[in-house]
Amino acid sequence: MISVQGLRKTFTLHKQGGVELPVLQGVDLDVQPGECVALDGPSGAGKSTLLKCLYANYRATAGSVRVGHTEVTAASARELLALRRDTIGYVSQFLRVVPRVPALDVVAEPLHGAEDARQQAEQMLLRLRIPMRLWSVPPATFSGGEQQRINVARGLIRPMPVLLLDEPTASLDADNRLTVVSLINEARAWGSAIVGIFHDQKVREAVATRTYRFH
Amino acid sequence: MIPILAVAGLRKSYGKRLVLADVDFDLWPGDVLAVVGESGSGKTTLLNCVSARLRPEAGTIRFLTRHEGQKDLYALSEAQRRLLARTDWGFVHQNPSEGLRMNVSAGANVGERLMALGERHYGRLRGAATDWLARVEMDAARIDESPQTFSGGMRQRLQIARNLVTRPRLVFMDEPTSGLDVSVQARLLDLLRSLTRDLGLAAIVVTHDLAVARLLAHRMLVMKDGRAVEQGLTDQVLDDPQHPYTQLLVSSVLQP
Repeated sequence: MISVQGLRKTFTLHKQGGVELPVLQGVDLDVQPGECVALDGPSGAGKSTLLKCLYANYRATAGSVRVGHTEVTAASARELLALRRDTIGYVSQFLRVVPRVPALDVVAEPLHGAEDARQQAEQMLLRLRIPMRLWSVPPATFSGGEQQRINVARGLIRPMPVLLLDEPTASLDADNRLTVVSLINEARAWGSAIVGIFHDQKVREAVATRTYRFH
Repeated sequence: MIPILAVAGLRKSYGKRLVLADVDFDLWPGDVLAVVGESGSGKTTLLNCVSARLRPEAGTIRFLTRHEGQKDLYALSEAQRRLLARTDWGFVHQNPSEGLRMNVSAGANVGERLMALGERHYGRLRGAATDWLARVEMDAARIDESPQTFSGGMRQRLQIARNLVTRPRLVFMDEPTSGLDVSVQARLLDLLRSLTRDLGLAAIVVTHDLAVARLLAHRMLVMKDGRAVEQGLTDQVLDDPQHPYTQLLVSSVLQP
């Protein structure tokens, strides 16, 4: 489902006189449906950068990134938007808040107005223990942990062939961490190909089928 | 699928000064494109050229008409272009008083484009105006007031209603939220975001505000000295800018 070959990512900082920062220097990785690959390595090794290249948020410097049938490094903006809509779910570390949109609608958005979108969003919010009085409130004022649960709810509300998870449990308490572990394992059982960064060792052991180590 | 707007090799100069050089882009139905860059970079000239308000010196602009496929904009007659401008297109000005008729009522402002299309039935005109005032979150009780009595944010919402009443497929916006208070901006942005999504509108939004681009646009085009120096998905351009100028632009603002 995901196939990465010889992926390189170098940042060129023009404001600093064209300094080049090589972050990924030849990553090879294949992920099948039903696998969950944990990215492991010290901070700054390029774990988030790899996730962002898979999501086409960062543009690869060289190499190939295939997600499903799409070569991400050569796809048009239009193809990438379709890929994100239909194939890739992404849970980023931080929720990007849209003013005035209530939590429930933020969570339901990936369902694109499906008939039972609201009910499904309510189920997710219940499972992730978001108090009902917050459902109609825009998440801008939520705590870090609440925002992260909104982000997880939104990213996992719909089964997606590919899931990219950037520290989905970082600021959660033990109960919610367990809920997120169950959600990830349900996605894997459904057949998602999952790549994630999980700093918490217990979480990693509970969800990962193997580890990709950065050096 | 065919692009609703296909722009190639666009060029325009004022005297000896080149203000647009070799600009190419495609816009798809439902696609929102932000055009960013500093003042004088050519972004407003670009908007005026592609909306048939300013004839370019060279290049083609092909628009996907409802029934006759793609047409070269400047090969159409003046009358055909004017008809497009008041039916299939919308144009939202930065200053609402340029896009509104300030001395007639809010309802008449919304109804005008329908009347230009031949609607004469008073009840239906009023019904459409009431409906659109509600959709832009305005109090229908103010339908008979003139926009002169409205705040800046209300005028801008009225301008949007006036443009969208004919269900255009393509909307041009020139700095739609600048000049408004921050809280009013947030409300307007949310409104524009839901309207473009719910109506499947294609839109070109000129803005110098990268946060506005982040919220509204799927794609982004960065202009400098009349050239499109970088294009991509909005988050690609903002999170991983490639061109030296885009890097400068992105690093000059607080967390767009």
